[in-house]
Amino acid sequence: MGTTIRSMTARSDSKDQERQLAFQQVVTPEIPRLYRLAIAIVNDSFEAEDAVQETMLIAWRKWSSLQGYENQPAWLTRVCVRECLRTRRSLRRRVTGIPGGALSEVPDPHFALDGGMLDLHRAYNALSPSQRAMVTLHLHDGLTVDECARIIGCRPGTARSHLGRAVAKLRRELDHA
Amino acid sequence: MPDAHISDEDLFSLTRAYLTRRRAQSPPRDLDVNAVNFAFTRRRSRLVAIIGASALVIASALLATVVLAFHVDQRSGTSPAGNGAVSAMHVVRHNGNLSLPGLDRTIHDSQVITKLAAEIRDLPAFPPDERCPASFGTYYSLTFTVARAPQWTATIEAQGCELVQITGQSARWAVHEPQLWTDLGDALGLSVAQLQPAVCISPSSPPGCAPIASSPEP
Repeated sequence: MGTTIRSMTARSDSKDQERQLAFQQVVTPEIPRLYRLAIAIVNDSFEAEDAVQETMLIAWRKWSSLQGYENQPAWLTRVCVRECLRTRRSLRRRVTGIPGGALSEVPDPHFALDGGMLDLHRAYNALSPSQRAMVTLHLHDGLTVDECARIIGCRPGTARSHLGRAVAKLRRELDHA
Repeated sequence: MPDAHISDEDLFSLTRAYLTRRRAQSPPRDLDVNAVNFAFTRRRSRLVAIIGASALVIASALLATVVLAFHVDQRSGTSPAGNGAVSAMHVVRHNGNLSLPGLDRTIHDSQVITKLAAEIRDLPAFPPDERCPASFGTYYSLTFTVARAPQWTATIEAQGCELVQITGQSARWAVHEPQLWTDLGDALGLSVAQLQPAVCISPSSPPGCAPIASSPEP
């Protein structure tokens, strides 16, 4: 009996290891990309790390179904962006009185900025997380508004509105700089 | 420094350049390992939490079942609502204001006493505004012993509205249920007239009537 249980446990452990290995092979190359996307939305390195970790947790929980997906990077992007928005929302609820974009006013020391870029950094910080997500996905990654809306999890009209407001706010901030 | 009226094109290219620089930031060292390990370990702890919660729910359900079963069992033993087999019935007569011979008997005929218990169970509730004839304080105390359950007791008034009181329950009455008296009499080997004796209140009272006691029972 003891041998049977041991062999069953060993078989189960070996299966787990195989699953973990397959998971690592798929997600590990995506982590730097997801981190960079997250930092563009949350504008804080610690929050970006948290968002990536939560994304990995969700991915591992849903790994059985995720294995069958054709476009796993796109799925991970969607989860990561939503995790960034969710993190920001919950953080704002905890830190009352601090507007969403004002949490990381000071640029990262590794991220040297000058003149116009510093103004843009301030302007970008003044955007809401959803607006930042739209700006980075649409202007930087070149996704269409509909694709952005699917990733963020809102209607295309809402996404368009986020983008329009973001551009207007950036322009206003830069004009007043 | 951007112009006072920056064009869309300039704004977009400046934003792209900014984001390119922003997103060029390298992730912290070991983020990939840490993030993946976080997922593996958190999943395990979540699994443990789920198993723990399930065990708690199952344990609670089992406990509730046991408590419920005990309660039902107790009800079947302590009240006439149950159908538990009654193994003994101890009957004591409290004479009240009448002068009657003492009665303190225990019956072991299970069939008879189970039937009596069932009859008491089926007695109607005592109506709230009922006016009752005079009672002389005579009543019977019937204590039933049920297997694997505590005893339960019913008191039955011999006169008046023949109120029947089971501990913890609302009052019933037996005034319209002569069969209960017949069966109780059969069980004790007494007639109904002996169980509910007429009171000697005038010279024309029937023979065998019970005189009023000079010093009633407390």
